[in-house]
Amino acid sequence: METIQTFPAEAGRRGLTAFGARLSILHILIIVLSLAMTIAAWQFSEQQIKNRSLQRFELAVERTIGLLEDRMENYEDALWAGVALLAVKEGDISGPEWRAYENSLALPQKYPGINGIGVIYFLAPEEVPAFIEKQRAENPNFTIFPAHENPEIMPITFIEPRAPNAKAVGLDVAHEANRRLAALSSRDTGKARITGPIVLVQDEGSTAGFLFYAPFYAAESTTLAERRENGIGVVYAPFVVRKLMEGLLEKTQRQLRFNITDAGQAIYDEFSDTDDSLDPNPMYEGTYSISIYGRVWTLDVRTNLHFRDQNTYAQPYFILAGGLVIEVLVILLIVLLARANRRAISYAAEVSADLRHKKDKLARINEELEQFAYVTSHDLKTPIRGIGGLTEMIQEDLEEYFASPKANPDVQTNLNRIMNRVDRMNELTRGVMEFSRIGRSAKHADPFSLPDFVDTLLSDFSLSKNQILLISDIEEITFDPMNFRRVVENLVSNAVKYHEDLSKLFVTITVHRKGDMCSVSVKDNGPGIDPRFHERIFDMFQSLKSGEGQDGTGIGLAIVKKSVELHGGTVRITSDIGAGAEFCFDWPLTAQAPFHMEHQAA
Amino acid sequence: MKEIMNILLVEDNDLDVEILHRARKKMGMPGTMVRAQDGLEALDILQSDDLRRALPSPFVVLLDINMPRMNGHEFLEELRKTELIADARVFVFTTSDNPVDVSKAYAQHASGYIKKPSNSKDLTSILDALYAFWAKCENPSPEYRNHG
Repeated sequence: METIQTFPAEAGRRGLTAFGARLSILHILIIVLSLAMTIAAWQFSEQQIKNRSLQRFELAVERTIGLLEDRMENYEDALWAGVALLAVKEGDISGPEWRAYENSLALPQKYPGINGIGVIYFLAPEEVPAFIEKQRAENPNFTIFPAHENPEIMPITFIEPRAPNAKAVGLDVAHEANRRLAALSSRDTGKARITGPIVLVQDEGSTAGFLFYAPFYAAESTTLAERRENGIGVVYAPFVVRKLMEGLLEKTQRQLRFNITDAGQAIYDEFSDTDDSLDPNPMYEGTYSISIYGRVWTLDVRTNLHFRDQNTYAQPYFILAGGLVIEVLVILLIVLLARANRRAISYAAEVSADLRHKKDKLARINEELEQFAYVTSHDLKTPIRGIGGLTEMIQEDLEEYFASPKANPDVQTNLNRIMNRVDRMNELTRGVMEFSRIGRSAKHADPFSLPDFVDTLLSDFSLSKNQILLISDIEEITFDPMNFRRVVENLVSNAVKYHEDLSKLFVTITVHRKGDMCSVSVKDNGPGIDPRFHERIFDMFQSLKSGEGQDGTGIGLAIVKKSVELHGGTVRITSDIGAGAEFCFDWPLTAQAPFHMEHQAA
Repeated sequence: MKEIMNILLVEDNDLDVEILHRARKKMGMPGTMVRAQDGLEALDILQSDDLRRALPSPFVVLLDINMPRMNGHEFLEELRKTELIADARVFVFTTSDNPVDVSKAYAQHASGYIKKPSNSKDLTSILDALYAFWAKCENPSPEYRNHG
């Protein structure tokens, strides 16, 4: 019982206990590893998706900027076309001609987002009165405004379509720095230029806008000086940034929102729009600078809800959830296994403790029985000897009577029969005592030599020298010699007892080494034993002879069997009626012999 | 010259006493035989002058083991501690052939250990052998007792 009680304590020291089950290091390792794998798979897939959506974001930004630049190039083309027209007309064009040009451009269809297209002339102050005179021939209300200190005069002379831009006609763009500097820069570089942020005079909403210039010259000009000399005006287009952007790309189809600033001044703002696609916590954002016709625009870009919708994947969460479910199952399985294992172990411990207990009890009972048999036999000896002694006394006392003629011969016969029974009882008690001492005498005996032993047998049984033949490849019996002697003595004794003519008895004792053991055979030429009785003869008090004159106690073979089985062997018999009998058994040579059972010898 | 072998038989079984008595008589063995019922009575006989008169020296003690009051081993132990009689020659004569009994007896300097025979023929031969052995042995002289 003690082992069962100490078992859980030991278990507690060796592993975790969960739900009453013991988890070993290996179990915990499996759980941790599979958890790590789940998390790794989850993280990996999430990272993959992040990488992919980042790529998409960058692609979308690139596309938006590309669109913007394409559109601006498109406008620039329209401006350069105007420049080409003016070159053909040598810088001099009339209002109707310009309107015809504008019509041919089909602005609303081909250039959405543009406010109009017009012509600005660069004038020296002294040229102004003549210029106004000339324009008033076509447009009686033409005037140049407002007055300013700058040396240049740059009136917007034509702008089409006229109606929405009417307020701009006659505006001197040189009155304001952004417009003026961009116009001069365009003239000086010979390139298209835009202005910094301005508010168009014709824009009712007063929102941010800019002008887009392309210069034209009076003659071919390649140097700065020539350009300054020959620069007579610019073709221009005014833009309201909001309208430009609306034309650029429908916002509902975009996945981005952006602001544009020019030199720190906001010219376009989508962030403050509060429509459905606003993502208060954008997945990605970034700032990009683009150089555009002499200005640097800074685009502040953020993803919107469309982007989020198209880049939100449940996959990593499925992986995580699936992994965690498997994890829970693994833990459950391990716990169940551990519990089953623990139960099996404790059940086995219980059963084996029970068995051990029973075995101990049996051994004790067996010992008590042997002790009982021994004591009883011993105590019987005294009265038996007494009966024998008394019978002899009677015989002595009746010696004269027996000698007389009137003596009854039955008296002598019956006294002899008593003596005979006394002898048998002595034999019997001796046999029972020997039998009960087999287990006890297994130790503490000196080895003996086999040839000497055979000599002793010959003299004990009064046999002549050639009646026992010893064939042996072993000189000495060292393992439990006392019981070996007992076994062979009893077998020879049986051969002697049951042989009809003792002088013709011949016994062969063969001892043959066989690894850690030796196989022993005792063979006689006696009357043999009917195979029917081969099992019965080993039972105690079973003798095959019966009636008068029997001198077997029926205990000899029981002693043989018990002695041999004490060391795990078995006694085999080969015999038939009239064919003699051969008894074989194995005997260990050392205490380490395979079938030796230490506890039984103890 | 034939030595007298007087016997102190320490034996509780009357039948055994009678069998031995008859055997001696039949053999015509000279000497006296005194019988004690157990170890205590045997010690009394050996130590009391009156009782000793019935048992002249030289004598041998034939000692049974299993007896009431004081058994053979206890007697032997007591005997070896008792002045004047500690050197007595003792043959254990018993039914027991238990090795434990044999060893114990020799440890207390028994002169021999003989198993009681089961018939008169064997008894006669034992007594013959014992007497023959006795006749060959020298007897201790009382005046040299305790001189090593």
